Amino acid sequence: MATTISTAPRRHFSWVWLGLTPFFLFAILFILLPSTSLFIDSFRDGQGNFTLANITGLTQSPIPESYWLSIRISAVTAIFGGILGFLLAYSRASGNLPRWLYPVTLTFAAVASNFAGVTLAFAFVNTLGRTGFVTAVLKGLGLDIYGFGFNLYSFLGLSLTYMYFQFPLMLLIMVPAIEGLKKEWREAAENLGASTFQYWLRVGFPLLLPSILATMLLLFGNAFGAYATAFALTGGRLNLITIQIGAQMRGDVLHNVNLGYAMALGMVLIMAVSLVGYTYLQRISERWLR
Amino acid sequence: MAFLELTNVRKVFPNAQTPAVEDFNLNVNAGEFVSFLGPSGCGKTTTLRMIAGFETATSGSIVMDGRDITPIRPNQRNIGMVFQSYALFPNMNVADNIGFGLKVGGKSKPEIKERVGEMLALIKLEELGNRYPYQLSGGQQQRVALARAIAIRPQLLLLDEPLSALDAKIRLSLRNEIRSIQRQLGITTVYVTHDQEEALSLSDRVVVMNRGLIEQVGPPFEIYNFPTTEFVASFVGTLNLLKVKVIDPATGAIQVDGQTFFTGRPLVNHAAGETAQIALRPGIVQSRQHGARR
Repeated sequence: MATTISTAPRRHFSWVWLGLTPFFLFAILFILLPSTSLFIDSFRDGQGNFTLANITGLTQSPIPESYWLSIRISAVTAIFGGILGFLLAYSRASGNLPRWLYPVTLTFAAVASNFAGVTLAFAFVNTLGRTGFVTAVLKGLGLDIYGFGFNLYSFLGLSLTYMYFQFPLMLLIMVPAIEGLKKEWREAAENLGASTFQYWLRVGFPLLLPSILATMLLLFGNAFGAYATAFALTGGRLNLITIQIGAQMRGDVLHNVNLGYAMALGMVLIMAVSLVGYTYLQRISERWLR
Repeated sequence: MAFLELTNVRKVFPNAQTPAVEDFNLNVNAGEFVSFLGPSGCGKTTTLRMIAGFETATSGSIVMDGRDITPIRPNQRNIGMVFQSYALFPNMNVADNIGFGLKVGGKSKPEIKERVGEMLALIKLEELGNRYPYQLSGGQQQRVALARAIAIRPQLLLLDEPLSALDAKIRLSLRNEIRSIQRQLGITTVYVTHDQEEALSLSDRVVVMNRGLIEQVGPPFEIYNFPTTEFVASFVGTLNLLKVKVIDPATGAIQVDGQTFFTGRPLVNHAAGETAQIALRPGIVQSRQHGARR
């Protein structure tokens, strides 16, 4: 009797997938399902009927202004936080800093990039608020920052507060990117007659540019989604889109949960665009720096 | 006068117990192809990097074309270098990589275009000017790196184990291509390798190094057939080491296990009756009919 031998490879269960299970569960429960619910509820009224009123409501004042304010503050802190973080990462990479500064800067960055919310707002109120410690010291030295028009509870003040967690995040991501620049590229450029400036202008900086832009997009998203810091610091004085959504959800005065969902959907779309840009730029960077 | 002169060059890295390069003296003639051959850590790459200017000699001098280049920065030396890892700029296409040195040197666009075209033809990659390094094979990348180094019309070409990262077949064809381009341009070349076959087949002269010191300098034939130290004899080619009794130094007569042989050259540093060690290449052993003298 002829026997048949199966040549198809047997599929073995891989334990690697077990490690990924929490991630997929998390993504489904807290990203996919809420986003789907958000999308559906954005097109419903309070009674659950289909409506476009929430979407058209996004064009009603002050919602567009809130989006614009959030975009501006996110862009400003992403750009300046990005520049500051990059310069710090570059200084570290140059190898000319005192040795003790290397672990100190990284530890600070790791802590500060996660230090946001009420505690951060409280820290800034205590230092740069009207009666803050730094404000008082500066005043004692003859520099009255509030007299010069500075206000912690303004666009500038909130931007400064956001910078506290923005530039450390830039530093954390840029350090490995700068370290990924091969020594041979610099030597090859030098060997071909390039000065240090020419190397950075034509090789080093263009190679880092996708990483820099990608991380700035990440910083943008980081600031765009921030709520607690802004709310704790300014109350309702700065109408960021996250504060607007909070107001609709809590229902203190305005209570239209579905309009809140529509606003959140707008945020998700803006964040999604940032994420697509980030992924694209990271792919270029990985291809170059691998 | 030699084109490149290295005199008493010494390099000691900070916190190192022993010098990486010591007492290095070498003259390279214009148009010559010289290889530094030795095991890992023997100082060959360090010496090459001192010539390029990436390492500073602790003492000694490096003179190129009558000019002491020891204190000169690498970007002022007009030396082309090819790296083991290619070191092509990933953000530039092939043409821009080749034209990089000309661009930073302030050459005009038409001049750069013309020279890049010449270089692409030289390495036979005319069609690939618009490709990016990640779109090329290892062999193609190294040819581009070679073209980039030559494009600036350097006075000296340095190659640091340029074929190590390539597979055997490509290594062989690129080896011949490098030699053919070097001959065509007549450019003085220093080549670093740990591959004896590469060094022996490519070079006009080979510098065998060990532990930071030069063991022997000479044409490949001499290095292979007449090694002056035990290290050179064992490092270059395969051989058998035999204890022999010297019978007649003048005629090169030696005795192994009671049988007499002739080395073919006088044994200058040995006396009759002395025990010596000979290195025997398997390839030169020939069997003759009994009674034939050899």
